[in-house]
Amino acid sequence: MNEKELTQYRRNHLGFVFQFYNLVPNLTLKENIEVCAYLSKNPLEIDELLKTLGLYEHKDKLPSQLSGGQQQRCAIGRALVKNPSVLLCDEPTGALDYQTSKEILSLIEEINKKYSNTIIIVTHNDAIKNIANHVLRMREGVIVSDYVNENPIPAGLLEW
Amino acid sequence: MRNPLNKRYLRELKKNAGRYICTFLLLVTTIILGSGFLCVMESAKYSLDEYLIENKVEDGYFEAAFPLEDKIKSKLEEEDIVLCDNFYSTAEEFNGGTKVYIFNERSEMNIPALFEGSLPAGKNEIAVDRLFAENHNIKVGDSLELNKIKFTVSGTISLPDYSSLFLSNQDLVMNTTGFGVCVVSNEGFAGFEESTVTYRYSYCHNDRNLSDKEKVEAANRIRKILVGNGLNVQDFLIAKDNQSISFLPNDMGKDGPIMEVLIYILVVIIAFVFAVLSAHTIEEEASIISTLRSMGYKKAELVLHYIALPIIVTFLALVAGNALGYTVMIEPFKRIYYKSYCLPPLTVKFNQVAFIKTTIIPIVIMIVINLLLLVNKMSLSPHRFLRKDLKKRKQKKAAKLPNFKFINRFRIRVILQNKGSYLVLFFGIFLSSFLLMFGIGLKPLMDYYVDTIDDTIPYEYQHILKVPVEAKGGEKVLIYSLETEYYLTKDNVKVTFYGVQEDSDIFNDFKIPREENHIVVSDSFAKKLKVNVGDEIIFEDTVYEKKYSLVVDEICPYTNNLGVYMSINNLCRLLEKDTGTFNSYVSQKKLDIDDAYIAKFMNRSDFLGAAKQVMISFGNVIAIINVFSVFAYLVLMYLLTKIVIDKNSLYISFMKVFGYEKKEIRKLYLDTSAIVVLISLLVCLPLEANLFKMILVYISSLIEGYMDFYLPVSVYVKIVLVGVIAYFGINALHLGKVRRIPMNEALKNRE
Repeated sequence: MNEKELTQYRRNHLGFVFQFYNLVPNLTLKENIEVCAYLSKNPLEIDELLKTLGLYEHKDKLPSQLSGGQQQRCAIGRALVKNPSVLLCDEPTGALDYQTSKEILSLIEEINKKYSNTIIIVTHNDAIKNIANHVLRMREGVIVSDYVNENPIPAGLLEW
Repeated sequence: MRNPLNKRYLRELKKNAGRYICTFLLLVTTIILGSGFLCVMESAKYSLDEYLIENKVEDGYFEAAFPLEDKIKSKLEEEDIVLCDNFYSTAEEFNGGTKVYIFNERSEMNIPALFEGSLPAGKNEIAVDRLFAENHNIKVGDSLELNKIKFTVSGTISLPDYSSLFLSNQDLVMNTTGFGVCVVSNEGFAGFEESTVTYRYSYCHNDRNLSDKEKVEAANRIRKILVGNGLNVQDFLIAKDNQSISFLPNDMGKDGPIMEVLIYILVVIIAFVFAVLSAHTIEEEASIISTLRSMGYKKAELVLHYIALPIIVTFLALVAGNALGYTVMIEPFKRIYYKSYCLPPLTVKFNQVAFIKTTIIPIVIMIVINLLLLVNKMSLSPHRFLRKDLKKRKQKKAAKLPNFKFINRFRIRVILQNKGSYLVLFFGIFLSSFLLMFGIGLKPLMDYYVDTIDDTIPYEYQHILKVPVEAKGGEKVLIYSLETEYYLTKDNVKVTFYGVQEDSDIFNDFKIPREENHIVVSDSFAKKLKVNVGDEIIFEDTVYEKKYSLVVDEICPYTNNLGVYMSINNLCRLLEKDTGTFNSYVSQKKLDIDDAYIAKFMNRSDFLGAAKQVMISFGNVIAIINVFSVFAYLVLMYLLTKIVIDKNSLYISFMKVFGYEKKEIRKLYLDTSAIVVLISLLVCLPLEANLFKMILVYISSLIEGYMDFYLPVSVYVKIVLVGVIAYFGINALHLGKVRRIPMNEALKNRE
């Protein structure tokens, strides 16, 4: 695919969540989500999404007024709002504490159920693999194991 | 759905208000200058063109010692011309030394345009030129005494054949204070003593479509008729060569391009300021850009997003600048012309070309420069943005620096990091200080010019005669005009030949060559026409269609005009005149010659007064230029040095955490900018001086002389001083900003 097609593919099919939330600092939470809703022909209902994310009462705040966990929720909301078929999460909990990490993982789980999209999570946290259906373990750029997880554990029960 | 990113514009404007207000104001002032100037220029040009046609400006005139006989008049009219009496009486000492020409009634040619009041009717009314009236505080209804006759001022006017007040066509510049023109009715004119009257005849070709060449040929035929009938023609000038008529139409077009270029250069600099600011914003927002790009935002959408604000600000500035330029700035710019020239009443005309020049072109410049930068920046992959790796060429290693003290190495790093901003700053400083140099340097330069004329001119009085008469105490001189090619314009310029006595007491600064065809040229001649000793120059007599080739023996120090000096006998021989022919006296004392024989009398202050005039006409422009250049200094320095702090605010915050003191942080960052400003100021000086020299050559090409480049050291000192003081003020602002950078910025940062 060339540049243009790649952009188009990302626009239509991909959602990204990064370790750092990369929210636009001078837009409110709701507006940050709208930035990506704008890219989609049939985006999710934003207020409903905000409620799912537990951010509804914070929707008019700027990112700097929120905690890391809330910002990451917003970043996930932003990635989801286009209702992408694939959601890519690069260390989504890398900058978060234990409790918040679990909350975010539960949210991802819930979203997976609700919107039934494919979610790919990259992580250094070995425990997180247990919530996935399919696990690929990599070392120095090479796949060292590849298996299907028959019994995923709910995120709330994870311990590390 | 509107793009939610658009909501950022207003917030961004608020957050960086200082930045946008500064660029906005700088642009507005630039555009005001441009649009005001161009609008007035184009309107005045249009008014002038119309006026010259409507009011039937002459195609040429000649002056005879006595009124023409009807027989000659009808012979002249066979040349398909309309001939008009354009007699004038000269009042020498009006208001303590002003020369006034009072013309008789004009109804067919050179018709006056009325500003105020009415044209003179009856014996005792007079209409005076508007500029002359302003300069001498004459109001309609006042009474004036000229050549012993009392007149009441009936109105103020302008005359098409005197749009510029050149007393003598030889003069370098106009003389708006020492010379004026008026018109009286024929009845009123009859009252003047005959000795004060000059018999000028003006003519117009019936065929309005003659080319310049045909007009010159016609003039030569007319002159031949006059000379053939034994008339002593004093002064023969076709309109094209008559500075009082042709100077203004020629001059008017000429400052336009300079102004335009100036505006465009300023817009380019402001565009680069925006580009530097955008580049900084993009670096700052690299991670956001990477996110937006990975979510599927297109390059074009983001380019549009980042270009929008500079373009909106530019657009608003253009609207405001043009609106102000076309309204409130009309008066001040009108003053520039109306203070120096006798233009007809101005009709302000909306001019499309001028409008395009001050709107479309600036906005296109703005878009092109910013677009190039942004497209270039955005062409990097989202991945590169995520890693904040925005350098086009991969920098493998940090540039190796010699083993300086830490602080100096650090400063060099800051300079390298900000080389873009500092480069734009350098050009900004170059342009602002050049304007300042022009603004404060023009007066000393003109003074120097006047002084060297004063120092070198070897005589006090010059009497040009109508008929050769003997007089005691002066030296006989034969003055004659020829033309030679000017390398710069490839056109002919007029040079004045002085045939002088071989044993002259007055022209004693050089040895008068005895050999035939050998000449001495004046300093301004040599410099303007780039002539050296030993060169052979071709001179042309366009009237008699002859060419002479003469050799330069020496260069003499005179600077008053393009003068050529040779022995009077040799000049007579060259021009095939009888030995002993002369037409002027030069002397150290006023000679006792009957006024009736004198065609033109000039003293030292006449030679100098004209040169001084330049300052008067430039006065308004200089004030505008000075204010503007200081303003440009401030804005450019502020914006471009502030960015250094903005870029490094995180590191400054770290420095504070590490325990650096305010003074040390100032040394590392602010003093680096100060050093760059100072070096730029100093390095620019010789460059600006060179540019000034080039512009002087251009100015000299417009006048019948040569202005030598001269700037006293004090001008350079002033420029640097103004720059340093401006930066000093800005530095204080920056210090405040550095103080306000909080330490938790470093501690909270997650990357």
